[in-house]
Formats: sequence, structure tokens, C-alpha cells
Amino acid sequence: MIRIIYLRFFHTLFLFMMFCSVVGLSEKVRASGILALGVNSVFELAADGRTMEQRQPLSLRGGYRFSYADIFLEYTNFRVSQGTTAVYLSREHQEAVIWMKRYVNSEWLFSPSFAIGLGAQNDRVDTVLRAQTSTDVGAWQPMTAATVGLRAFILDQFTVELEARVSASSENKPNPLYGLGLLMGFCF
Amino acid sequence: MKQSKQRIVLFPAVLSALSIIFMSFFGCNQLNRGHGNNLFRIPWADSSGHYSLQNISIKTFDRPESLQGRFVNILVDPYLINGHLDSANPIGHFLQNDDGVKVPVDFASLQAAAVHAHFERLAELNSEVGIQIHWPLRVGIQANLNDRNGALRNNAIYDGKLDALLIVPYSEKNIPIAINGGILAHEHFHKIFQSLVLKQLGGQQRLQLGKQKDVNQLFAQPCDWRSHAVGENAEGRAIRATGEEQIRLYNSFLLRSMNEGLADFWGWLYSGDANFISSSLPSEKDRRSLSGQKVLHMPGKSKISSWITGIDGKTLPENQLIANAYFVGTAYARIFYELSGAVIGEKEPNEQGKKIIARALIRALPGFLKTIRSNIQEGAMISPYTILTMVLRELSAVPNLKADQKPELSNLPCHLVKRVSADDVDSEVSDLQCDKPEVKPELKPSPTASPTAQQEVKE
Repeated sequence: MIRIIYLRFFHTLFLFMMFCSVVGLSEKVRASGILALGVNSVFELAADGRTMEQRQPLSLRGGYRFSYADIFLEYTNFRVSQGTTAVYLSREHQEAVIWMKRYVNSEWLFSPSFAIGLGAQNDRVDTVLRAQTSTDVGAWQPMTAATVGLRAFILDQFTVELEARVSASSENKPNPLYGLGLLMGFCF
Repeated sequence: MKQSKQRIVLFPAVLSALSIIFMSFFGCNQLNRGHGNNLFRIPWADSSGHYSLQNISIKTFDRPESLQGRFVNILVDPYLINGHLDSANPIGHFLQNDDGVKVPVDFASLQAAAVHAHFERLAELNSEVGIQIHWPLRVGIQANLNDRNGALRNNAIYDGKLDALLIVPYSEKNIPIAINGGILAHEHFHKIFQSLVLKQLGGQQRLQLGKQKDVNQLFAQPCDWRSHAVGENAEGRAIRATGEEQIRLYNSFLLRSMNEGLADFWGWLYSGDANFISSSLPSEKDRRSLSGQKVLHMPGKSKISSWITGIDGKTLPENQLIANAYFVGTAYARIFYELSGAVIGEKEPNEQGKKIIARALIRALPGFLKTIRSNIQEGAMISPYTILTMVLRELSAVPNLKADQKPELSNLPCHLVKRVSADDVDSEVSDLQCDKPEVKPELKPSPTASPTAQQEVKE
């Protein structure tokens, strides 16, 4: 238990230090700000152990574009409900990841990219039995992710990006988890 | 100096990043961290049948990540391979809240946890009443089965050949069957009856009527939790049977009735709710309730035979036969319910009375098997009262459990059995001697029940 608390503190401290460093550095080098909104598809293993169930998370990104890489924070969320009229569960899955993304050539109209991210995820479940609802939140679990993608400029400041993604966490089923994402971005 | 400052910041940052990556791939999930207890958040009923979300201890559910435990092997959406039941390795999905309670994150995990909880307690009940069976049991959830009408829904089937309980998807607005402990106990009794009685009979009851399929299959059907609806949709398939075939058909019918009726008793024994079926299937509340109208007279051989064969000598259509079998089964269930009170001299049964009757029933089954085996070998019809007299015999071996029990009340079970068998003049029960005069419990007067009072017997 003490080890878990220590590790969580250490990871949270790391993420906070990263965030402060990025903000500080962005001011120093006058980096551009970036925002992006995306829809994704990830495939989780169903309880039967052989069917893949599709989830469609929404993601929101905000960060900075440096000369060598983009560094941003991404928040992802999806909900899924299962059960019957009288008994059902509503699950909300959240992820918070700090990414570092590098483009092959950021000047190109179409530029391949690759990225690596570190962060955490958790689940929240509402269990409903007729009129009774019970809400439970699981602990934040560390996760790692990586993407390869292709970015295209629509206008000078607007981009659209297609990504293939893999993410790993001890809670994933399967682990690692694979997915695709489509994002609209804005640079300012 | 600047370099050493950078190292101070960089080294822990890199170490933290590496630990995140490592734990993402090789870390234990929440359930395996050793924190927490055996509590699971699942729907659970009290003895009045009211369900609520509760934290239930399930000590034997020791591998929730794969939905397996010491008493149950869960199969999700199972399939048949070379006649054997199998499935891919199930995936359980639970989160652990701040109190250490494991909360299911998907519906299959919730059903699986409920099944484990009930079978852990059913195993304790088995020990209390003297049953020994081999664990773990195989239970299939979200089993996609079809019959001639299409996909099966809102049902549970104990398959004796596969030795597995299969629970099909539930689509109604009430408590899913996989969560209903009474229904799980009912199905569990089928396994007990199968292994102690039906399997021992082997091929003795196999019956082929001309070119029709093996009629014994009629009575090996899955539990039809809507026997009334089945009767309403009866198909017109009449069979003219010979005398010997009619006797075999009657015996199969009676064994099916007993199996269903005693299983309903078992469902009440476990759950404490005489209306346990209605929690999932409200339409069956009046028809199958154990605390419903008392059975004044159990139908005898000739009356039961009339519910198998129509006036033209042809057997009734298959669906009607099964509906009638459930009707007779309910009579058995209500008699055993009443016996559970009578045995302790009370109007209403309690925990003590239930367990006494359950133990007597289990002890009676080997003797019952011996009697019906010889009936079948001789080509004779099994008496519907045989099981009652066998249980009565076992009860006489039970010492008085209440120190202040009045002696005359201890004969209530005997008088009850005599009362319900009064219709059949050939009954073996007529020779039964109940030593003391009957102290009659209050009974509401009602006519002898028949299925015709509830549904039209179609020919």
C-alpha cells in the first residue's frame, strides 16, 4: 500500500514537473500554441474472450509546438452502458496523457509523425438497480502510448490528422490496446 | 553546477517515466494488488424478494480477472465442439473502489459475480442437507441457444448430458435470471435430481412412439418458465400410444413434474422467497408461487393420466403435456412448502422446518429410486405419492427438535400426506397409520384443482 502511494506521488510529481517545464520553455522559445479535437476508435476484448468491442473515445489536446516537436496534454473520454432495463452499468473511461510528437518534416503539406506518451487512466462505474444507483471510481493507473500518423494542412493554421495508436496499461483488455484517431487541429 | 542541477531534475524524471512504461506493461491490475477484501458489489435479495445493491462476500471467487472460482467455472457465450461445451477464456472486468470493494465494470462480470455468490451459498446448503457433488460446476452465461421458435430468451437450462447450467440472455424489465438466486437454486436441484435419480434410471425410460422423436425428450426439455404461455401456443401434434407406451409416457410425465416441483421447493428453500420466480417473471407469480392456494388433494394416477391422453386416446400435443407437467409440479412444491411448517407444528414454515424437509427429501431419494426402478421394470405406473411416503419415512427417523413440541403435532406431516392422497383409492397411503389424531391447521376451502381451471386443454 505504501509502495503504491509512493509510486503515485512520484508519477504525479513527474507529470507536474513536465507540465511546468513545457510552459516555461514555451515562453522562452516563443512556441506556438496548439489545440485539437478528435474522435477515435479503440477495440476492447469483450467478456467472452474472443469478440472485440468498439469504443469511440473523444479526445481534446492542448499544448505547444516547438521547432523540434509538439508537446501537449491530451484528455480522452468514452462512455459505454450494458445491461437490462432493471439492472445496468454505465462505465466512463478517462485518460490523461502527456505526449511528445515529432513530424518528419513539419513544412510539408502532408507530414508523417510519430509520438510517445505517458499518463494515466481510470474508470468510473454507475451501477443501477431500478431506482438505486451506486457510483464507484477506480484508482488512476499508469499508461503508456505511442502513435504513428499523417498530418495534412487545410489552411495555414488548421490541420487534420489521422493516427494509428497503441496504448498499454495493466487494466487494458487486451494489453496493449489498438486504435485509430481522426483529429482537427488549430495552431495559434 | 548547472550540469549537476540538470542531472538532479533529469534523473528522477527519466526514472519516473521508465517506471510508468514498466508498470503499463507488467504492472498488476487493481485486483491483484493484495489490497482489499472478498467483497463484490452486486444485486442481492432479502427473504421478501426485494433486491438492492449490496457488498457481498464471495470468498471462493478467487480469479475474478478470468471469472473463475472454486465452485463455478464460468463460460461466456459457450459453444459445442465435438459434443463438449467450451468457450474462449472469459475476461472479467472489475474496479476496486476506495473501500476495497470490487465493482463489476461490465454486465457479464456482474452476472458472473452473482452466480459465484449464489453457488458458494448453495454449496453450504448442500453440505447442510447431506449432498455431495463434484465442484466446480460449469455455468454458461449469455448462452445463445435456439429452439424451433428461434433464439431462447429469459430462460435457464440445466443440461444433463453436458452437465452444465446454461443461462440465456434476459430481455425483460425485471431481475435478470443470472442474478435470481432462487432460479439458480431451482436449476441446481435439477443437477441433484439428475445425478441421484434420472441418471441412475439410465435407458429404462427411453420411449419411442412410432416415427415420433424419443418422447423422453419431451421431458428433458429446458425449464419452461412460462408454462402457461406454452400451453396457449400448443401445437396440434397428437400421438396415439399403446398401453405400454402410455405407461412409460405417464412415468416420464410424473418424473418431470416431480423434478420441476421439487426444484421450485429448492428455490424457495435457498432464497426464502416463496415468489422467487416472479422477481424475474412476474407473469408466473400466481401460477408458481409456493405460498399460493394450498393443495387439498394431490391428483392420483388416473387423473394425471387424463392430463396426458385426450378423450380420443391420443396423447396431448407436446407443449400442452409440458404445461400440464408444470401444473402437477406446482402441486408438489406447495405440498413440500406446507410440510415445512407441519413438521415443526407451525402454520407457516421457518428455517428449521425447511431444512428438516430438505434433509429428509435427500435421504429419501435413494429409496425412491429403488421403488420407481422396480415400477418401471414391471411396467407399472409410478404412484404420485411415492415420494411423499418416502419423505415421511425419513421424517420419522428425525428426533424432536423442539423440547416443548406437543406430541400430537409431530404427526401433522403424516396427516397432510393422507389428506392430499385421499383422491386415489388405490393409493399405498391409505394403509398409512398416523398414530395421533390430527390437529388440523386452518385451510381455505377450495375445489380440487385441475389444469382445465387455468387453461384450455387443446386436443
